[in-house]
Amino acid sequence: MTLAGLLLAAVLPAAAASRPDMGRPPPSGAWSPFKAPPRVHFSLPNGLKVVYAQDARVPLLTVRLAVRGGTALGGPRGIGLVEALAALLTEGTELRDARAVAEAAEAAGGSLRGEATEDHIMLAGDGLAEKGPDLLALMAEAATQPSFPEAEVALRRANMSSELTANRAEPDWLARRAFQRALYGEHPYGVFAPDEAAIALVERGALLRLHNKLFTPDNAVLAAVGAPSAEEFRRLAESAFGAWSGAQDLPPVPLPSPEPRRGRRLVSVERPGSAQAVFRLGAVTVGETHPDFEALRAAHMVLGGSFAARLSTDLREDKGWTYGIYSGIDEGLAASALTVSSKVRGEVARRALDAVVAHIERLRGTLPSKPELEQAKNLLTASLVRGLETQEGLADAFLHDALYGLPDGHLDGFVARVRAVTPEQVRDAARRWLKPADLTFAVVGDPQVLKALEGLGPISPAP
Amino acid sequence: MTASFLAALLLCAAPAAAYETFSLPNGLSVLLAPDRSVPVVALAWAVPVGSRQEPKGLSGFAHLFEHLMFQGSRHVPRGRFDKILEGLGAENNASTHQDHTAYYESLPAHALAAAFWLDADRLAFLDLTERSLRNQVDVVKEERRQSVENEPYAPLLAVGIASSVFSNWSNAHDGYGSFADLDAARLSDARAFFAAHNAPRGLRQAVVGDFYPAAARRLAERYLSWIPNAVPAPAAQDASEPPQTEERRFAVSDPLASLPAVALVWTGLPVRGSREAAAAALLGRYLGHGDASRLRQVLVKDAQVASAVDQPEGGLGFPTSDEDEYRAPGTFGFFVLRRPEAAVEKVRGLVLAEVASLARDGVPPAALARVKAALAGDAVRERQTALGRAQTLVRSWVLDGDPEAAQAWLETLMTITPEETRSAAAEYLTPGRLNLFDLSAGGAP
Repeated sequence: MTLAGLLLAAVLPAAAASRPDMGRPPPSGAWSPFKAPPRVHFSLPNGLKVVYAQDARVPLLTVRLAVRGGTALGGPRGIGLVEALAALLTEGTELRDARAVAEAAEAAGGSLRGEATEDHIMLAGDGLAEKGPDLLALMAEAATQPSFPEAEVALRRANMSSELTANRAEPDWLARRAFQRALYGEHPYGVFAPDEAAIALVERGALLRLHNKLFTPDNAVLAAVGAPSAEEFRRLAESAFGAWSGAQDLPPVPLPSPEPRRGRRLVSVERPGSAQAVFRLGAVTVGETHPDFEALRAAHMVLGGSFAARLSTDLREDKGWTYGIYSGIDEGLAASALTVSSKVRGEVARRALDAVVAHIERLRGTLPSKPELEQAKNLLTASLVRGLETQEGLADAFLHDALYGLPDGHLDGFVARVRAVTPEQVRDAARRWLKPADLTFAVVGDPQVLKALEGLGPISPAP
Repeated sequence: MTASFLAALLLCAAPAAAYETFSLPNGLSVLLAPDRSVPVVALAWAVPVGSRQEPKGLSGFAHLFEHLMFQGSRHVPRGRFDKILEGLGAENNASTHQDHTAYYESLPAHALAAAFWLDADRLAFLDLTERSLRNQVDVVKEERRQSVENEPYAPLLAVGIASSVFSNWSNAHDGYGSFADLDAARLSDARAFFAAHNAPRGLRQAVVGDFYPAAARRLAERYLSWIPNAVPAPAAQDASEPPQTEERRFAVSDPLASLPAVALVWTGLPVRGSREAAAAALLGRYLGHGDASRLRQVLVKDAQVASAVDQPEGGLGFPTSDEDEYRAPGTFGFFVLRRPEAAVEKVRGLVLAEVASLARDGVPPAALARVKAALAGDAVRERQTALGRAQTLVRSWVLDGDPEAAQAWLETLMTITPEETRSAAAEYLTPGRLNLFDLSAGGAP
């Protein structure tokens, strides 16, 4: 551009007439309803339940297979075995060694990995739609014919030990473990991670027995989203999983919910010299199948669900005590918990905990303002909708709903349910489920810092 | 790859199966690609300034400006930008690279107008004061302390390798900026840098997702067309490098590292977008990407001289840029966490033996097909979201001058033959272009 041209460009568009009103934000419209792609449900003759949705936007196939029975099933002794089993499903089968499994997943244009939650063991596979038969065959092989090679089992055990050593140096991990134990007590959800004894139990024979017990088609759910039509996918699923046999001797019994516990509990973990205090606090609440859930989730968003929420605005922005403070909801089949977690400078730990409790009191005492609740709902709605842009997000949501027994309409009704929550419902949910007198606390910090917590509740060192 | 597969890839990866572009009178160009499958919309934009465009004495300015863009503007006081977007349910962020700086907002479909307003205000009326400048200089210095000086291996990966293998200051200097340059930064320098590099003429924007093109076009015209180009375009920096002819060795120590490491870095790689660069990208993936990678098999599993070869992932551009933003003069390399008992020479010998076998035979056909499938899968997954597509389009538009260049690059990658990988390995991965960094853990070497 010549200099004259430049000057012209600089002068003309800047004319006052063409500059819009910058003084206030432009208005925004209303939320559009969200509808997930339609799902089809069917079962194979061997009892495997399948949910599938066609998504022809991209040439991908995304598959999840879950069996009932997760780390909670194992308890303190078996948690290591369950975690190792999930990780080792992809480290060798009757037909392929670990390297061949990794190469086959790559050749299918994606990946295959196993993981365990409290309630389930899951295999997640992603690939290109045109490689769908290969991906499903590989997943079926990992699910039904894992070989747990001795060398891979030994390597897994060694890695678990070094992870445990590394985690023990992490204050976040120590706080999580202490909190989980204090919150759930002897309930299986109270076990957060395997210790040395649990890791030592990881051996090939035990893995094979546990696998035999859990991995039967009538104990599993297959959830998938992909470019193939529902008919094509049914044929793929039949050819990959149709020969899978076996059945549960007894139908699996759902884990009981933990007994409600009354009174404050506070566990401390000494970490001499720690500049920061790391804390978690919270209570057992309700999960997605409970009528109070949407109001409770909105309460969590108002309290600490985002950077703009009350906790962050107060403790980070106004007081400068922390880099971040957030609340969260950990959902499980037997129970869910609402927690608040943060790291603060040691000398303000007590005041920070008191401030969080005061914010909980306020949530129970007064109604959230309209704009505050509106913002909380916007964030909730947007994060869910964004999560469902991808096949991974859709497949995870379909699997979740299938495992939790939620109907198809549950996902599609999300936007409307969130929008309908009232300020009164938020306050009432906090009153019912977040009682300051029944809160559990876990704090990791220097012994001097922990001393300042006296009076907050009966303190006990973490076991 | 079969023809049907490539066609399918084209459909989704030209995300913009149907899109339009237009330029405003000030040169700012906009791409609109509607897709109403999910009620979200992403607005991504980039300006062609990164660490390589910084003049001597102003190191770190590209990154500093990425920070300043969030520190308030005339109608959006400091702290409001994030809060307004969060209140609407939107996400936003920005990142600084070698040759561009990228920004985005990902919003619920009904809130698109707010993003145009917020971006227009910070482009036209950024609060650039002595106070905001000093404040962000402090923040950037703190960020450098935290993410470079306080992280094991980061001094080598983020600063050391580039400063050792490059001799042209444009490529060699620290993108976080030297503390001396940052401290000496004058407000007039900052204003001039902003005016030159964040001008509308070089800005490319993509809007992807649930919106009506006519409405988005009106928003772009209303909010962005009046912003002036205040100064002439800056002259391009000369980033050329003299060719390297002999292997170089560097010994470094890292007091924070618990394991020793070896970084192998080749210089003089081919130009962005070429078939040679595509062959190099595939070589990088074959050697160092994921559980099935060749170096992982050789170094971690078979010889057991390393505990990892992909933390961080290597390949074309390592360690100064990702493969998708790679631009010559660039590098190619890997980072190997060495087992303490294994000799550096052993690691070097095993890697060079692999490279030599590639220079002789190329990537085996079955392995090449596998690497291509993995790469295609990654590319498609990345383009599933409105934001992923918008960012891909904008990156290509700013770096290649064509929003569809990412698609062309993908097609090039899919058609590379084993013979092309052989000749790329033979020509570019020679010992004379190699730089070996021998990092000892926990103190002096």
